Parts: sequence; structure tokens; C-alpha cells
Amino acid sequence: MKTESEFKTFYRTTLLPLLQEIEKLRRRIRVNNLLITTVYFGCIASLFALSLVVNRMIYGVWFTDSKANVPVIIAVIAAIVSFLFYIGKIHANKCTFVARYKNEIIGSIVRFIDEGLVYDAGNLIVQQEFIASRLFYPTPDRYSGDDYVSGSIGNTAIAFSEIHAIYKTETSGANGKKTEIWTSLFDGIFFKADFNKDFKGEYFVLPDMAERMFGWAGTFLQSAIKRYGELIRLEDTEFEKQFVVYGSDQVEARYILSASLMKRLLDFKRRTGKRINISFVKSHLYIAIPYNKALFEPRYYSSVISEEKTTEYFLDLEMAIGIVTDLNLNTRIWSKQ
Amino acid sequence: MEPSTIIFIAAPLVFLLLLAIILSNTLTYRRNQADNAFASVDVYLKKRFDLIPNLVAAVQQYMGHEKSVLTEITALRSEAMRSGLSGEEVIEINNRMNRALRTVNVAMENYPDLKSNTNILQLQASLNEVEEQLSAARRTYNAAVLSFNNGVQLFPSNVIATIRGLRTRSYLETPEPERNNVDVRGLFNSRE
Repeated sequence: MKTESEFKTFYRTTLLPLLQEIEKLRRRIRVNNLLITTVYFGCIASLFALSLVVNRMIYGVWFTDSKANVPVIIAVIAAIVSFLFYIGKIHANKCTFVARYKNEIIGSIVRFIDEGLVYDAGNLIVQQEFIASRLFYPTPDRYSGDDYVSGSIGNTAIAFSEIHAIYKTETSGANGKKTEIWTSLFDGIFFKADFNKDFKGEYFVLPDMAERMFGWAGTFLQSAIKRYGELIRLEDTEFEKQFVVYGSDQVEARYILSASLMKRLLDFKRRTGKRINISFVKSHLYIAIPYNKALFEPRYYSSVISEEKTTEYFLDLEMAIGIVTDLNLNTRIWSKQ
Repeated sequence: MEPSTIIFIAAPLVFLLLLAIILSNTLTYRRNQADNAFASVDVYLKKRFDLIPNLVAAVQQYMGHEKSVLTEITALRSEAMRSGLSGEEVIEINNRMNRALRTVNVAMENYPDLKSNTNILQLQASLNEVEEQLSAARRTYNAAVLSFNNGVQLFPSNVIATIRGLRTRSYLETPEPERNNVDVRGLFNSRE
């Protein structure tokens, strides 16, 4: 794994020249977009002025209430159509900048952390994988994401991406009118890795709210939840305070959650400071790390040359990629190779 | 006697009877959980003992100086295969086996040929796997025993436990010597 000081050197030697080039592109695109905006709104204003002049020529007034103002209507239609083109052009320009930033900067950071990894800005962990983790309920109605990183670290195949999943609920009002409510299911990094032991069941390590808030009554409540399987009480008290574990088999759960893995998960949780959700399904490990910000998106309105911001991206990526080392997934002393 | 008086007397009795049944059933459930967990410990112990002859056969041609440890392992396996062993005896044999296997594992580091033998590497992986499963089964058993012992010792279920003659069970602890690093030199010297 790479340290922050190693990254700072990498930033100065490799990323800074790239960022300077991208900064030039950003400025050029912003000037370009500003120019397009000025010309566009200038044209629209002229078009409306012209339509009013024509209106006056036809109807004798600038605007009439008694007849259809045909020139004005034509101007409005032209304005709407051209506005769509205008937005599309502005957006396409911005996308050119974002794509270059992501491919060159985020891609370089990923390769810097580990050569065996590939970055694909537009791709994402497929929805079937998200559902297969069985961490979230209900099934998302809208699912999107980007910044897909995949590859192998040692013997361990990993993949992760940013994911936004939301689901829809419908409520009926007093007048029988249905209202759709969209609720966030998950926003953040969704991580999948090949686990180093084979197992058959399904196991869930979730943040423990009930026990911390309600003590033994919380434990009772936890045991009543059957969606994830039976409650598994582990002997590590510190782990039990932070997490609640459910699964299909008491022995296999402990086979997966060895004393050392419990300690490593605790350390990982402390390091991230996030409410992480973990599942072990079909010999795979899934980790959902929530974030309440858009990840790896370059700044468009201010300079991209920022060591602080780029280091932040590095730390977020390093945290996800570091899961393999943090959880010791490359150790293959068991039957699964 | 007035019906209300009968209800007044009978209601607490019915409540106590129901409570006793629930507590008794909970204790039985927890005892069965512990028995079941011990059965899986036993399964993994047997599984491990089944791997021993293969390991001994594979490594003995390389390990000239450690014959005594291999002999001990074979003897322990034969002992474990005897029928009618109590739970404590099985655990004791297993603990001795742990120590002997650890010695073999550490000693194998001195034989580069062994480390490149795929057959032995596979055996080692299988043994590691079974040991991990064994450790998981032991932890499950201890968790089940904790739950059962709580039932036996805490009020009010301890009253039912006393009536039924249920006693607390002991945990499957990792013996003290195993918590320390194995002194391989000392172990081999003592056998030579």
C-alpha cells in the first residue's frame, strides 16, 4: 500500500503537470461556455425583439390580447428548441473536461495505488451484484453509479464503484390521489471482493444501533429480526458494541469471523469513521461505505490544481483498495487458493 | 368458595406454572444448543484426525530428526480413535495434538523440499481449514455454554435448574501452553 507522503511525491512529479494541462482545458472550456452563453442569450434577446417588431408590423401593436401573436409564438418555440441545444452543448463541453480529469487523474491515482487495477469512469458495479449482497431492502427502483475500479490485488479479485440507489413508495392521500416518495437506499462506495475462505451460508455484519441505545432490550429486538437469519453473538465485546451479526449458521459465521478478522473490521470501521455494512455471500465479501458527497468529481468552477483535494481522492480510493490488506484477504493458507 | 376467590388463588398459581414451563423449556433449549455445538466440535476433531495419517506419511521421508514428534502424532490419533472417550478426554488429546502439529509446522520451515511439495502444501491447507473450523466450532460451543450457564445461574431460571439438577458446564479453553510461542528447539531436544 502507498502512504500519504509517497502520494505527495507522486502528486508533485506526475499529477501536477497533468493537472496544469487539465486546468488549461478547464479555463478554455469555461471561457468557451461563457461565450456560448453570451451569444445564445444575445441571440434569444434579439429574436424576441425582432418578433415584437414583426408583431407591431402585422398587428400594429407590440403585443395583442385579441389575436395570436404568431411571431412571438415562433420566437418562443425557437427559444425552447435552441435552449435544449444550448444546454446540451454546455454539458458536452463540461463532460469533456470531467472525462479527461477522471481518466488522467483518478486513473493515475488508481494505478499508483496498485498496478493491477483498472479504472473505468463510466462503469459501475451491476445492480445484480448490489442485490446479491442482500444488504439493502427493498430492491432499488433507480440505480446509478460511476467510477468503477476493478482488478486483482495479489490473489484477491476486487471491484468497487460509487453507487446511488433509491426506491419508491406510494402513499394515497385523503382524495385518493397517489403520491410517489423517493427514498435513498444507499449512497457511497460499494465494494466487492473474493473472500479467502469458502463458505455456503449468508452472513451480515451491520452497524449496531439497538444494543448501544437500549442495552439488553436492544439485543432482544435484534434477535426478533429474522430477515438476515439468526442473531449471532460473538465473544469480542468491543466488536459486539459496534456491530450486530446475523447469519444462517452459528459455526460457519465464526469460521468467517475469526478473532483476527473481527479486530481488523473494528480497526477498519474506526479508520473510516463510517457506518459500514458488510455481508458475506457465496464466498464473496461485500462492503457498503456510505458517503454524503459526490465522489471523485472534479471542481468545475475553481482550479483543479489542489494538492488537498487530490489527496482527498487518493485517501478515499486508498481506503477502498486497502480493504484487501486491512482485512488480510490475500492470506490463502486455507483450502481456497 | 366464591368463584372470584378461586380465580384469585388460581391465577397466580397458573402464572407460576406457565413461568416454570417456559423457563424449563428455555433451559432445555439452551442445553440442546450446547450439545449440538459440542457435536460439531467432535465432527471437526474427527475430520482433523482423518488427515493425520496422510500428513505423517507425506512428511516422514523428509523429517529425519523429528521422527519422535511424528510417532507421537500417530499415537495420539490412535488414542483419539478409541471408542468411549469422554468429552474432556477428547479435548485433552486434541490439545496435545495441537502442540505436536504446531511443532511439525514450525519444523517444516527447515526443509525447503517440503515447502515446495504440492501434496504437503495441500495437506497443510486442509489442516489449516479444519483447525479454523474447529476453532469456530469451539467458539460456538463456548457461546452456547455461556447462554446455558446464564440460565442455570441467574434468577429465576436457577430455581428450575436446581430442581432439574442441571449444572453449569465448563468452557473449551485454549490451554495455557498453546497461548505461548512454541519453543521448537526445546521440544525436539527433550525428545532426542
